[in-house]
Amino acid sequence: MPPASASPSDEALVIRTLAGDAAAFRTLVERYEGQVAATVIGMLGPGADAEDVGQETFVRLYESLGRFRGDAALGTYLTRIAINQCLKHLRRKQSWMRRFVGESQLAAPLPDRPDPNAPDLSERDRDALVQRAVQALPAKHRSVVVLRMLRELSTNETAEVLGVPPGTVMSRLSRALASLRGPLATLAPPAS
Amino acid sequence: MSVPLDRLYSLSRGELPPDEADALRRQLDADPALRAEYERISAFGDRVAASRAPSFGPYFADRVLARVEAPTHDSTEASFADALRSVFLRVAVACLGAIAVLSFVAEREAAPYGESFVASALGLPPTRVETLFLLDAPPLGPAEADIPTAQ
Repeated sequence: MPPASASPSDEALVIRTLAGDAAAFRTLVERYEGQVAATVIGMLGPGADAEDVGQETFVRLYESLGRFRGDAALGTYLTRIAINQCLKHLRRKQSWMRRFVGESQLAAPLPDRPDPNAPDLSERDRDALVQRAVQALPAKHRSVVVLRMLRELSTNETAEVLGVPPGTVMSRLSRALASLRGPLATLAPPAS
Repeated sequence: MSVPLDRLYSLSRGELPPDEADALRRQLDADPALRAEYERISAFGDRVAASRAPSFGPYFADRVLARVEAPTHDSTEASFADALRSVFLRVAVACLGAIAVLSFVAEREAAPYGESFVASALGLPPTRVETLFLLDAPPLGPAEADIPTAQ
């Protein structure tokens, strides 16, 4: 029998949330906030958009808890929602940009990009460089990089989240790494 | 021999089975270009894994619960669309009401002249069957036959 102080399982929190216990849902949000933040901010970058999509991810979870059958772990289910919300947000944003800004602006380089060859590049600049390079990837490749490299999910877990075969995950990761070959050619490993 | 880049990444993370990892390491020892590629991917993987994404900020759970407990909208764009739809429905209902009232008033005013409901509602000039065959004929007034003419 687990000790009384042990935190309740996801399943127990889901059941309590469905019974109307707001505190149980708050515990779920606090438990998975970090995972969702890593996924959403990895996909969209920090800012108001990521915050909004993060909130929307949990709202969607709340609305769909009645249909959650526990076939996948709650974390996997939530990550799937987060990725889908990010892809939806990116599609909407791209469509808006095409309509109101123009195709040429979409391909414009990001301003103030630090030079990867600069000798005095700080650790923070290098992290920013990595983040920018990842966000310049096509959305499908970006989602694989975020899940495999940032979230450190396995190939099979990533495939389950994205709903694609493991071979697709591997080929997308290979293509993403090839795309990043140029921008990050001289990137040093992080200082330990 | 080319090696898929995802396998180099898997090797750097220790995800490959021992026999596959040993075979790949032998390839790396024999191929300096492949070794350089491996080291680049490994450094990039370390950098990504070490970069901790910032959190959403304090009181994130409070903001989520506030949204869950309040009527939710998909996004600001969806909220704007909902607002437009709401305004349009109200304006449409008001317009239909105004049309009904004006039609009723027109019908009441035109009733003494024997005009049809459609003609009075749309404000059409009064016509008679015989005038339909006359092009450019002026519309007939209610008592045109009685107008005296100079002989």
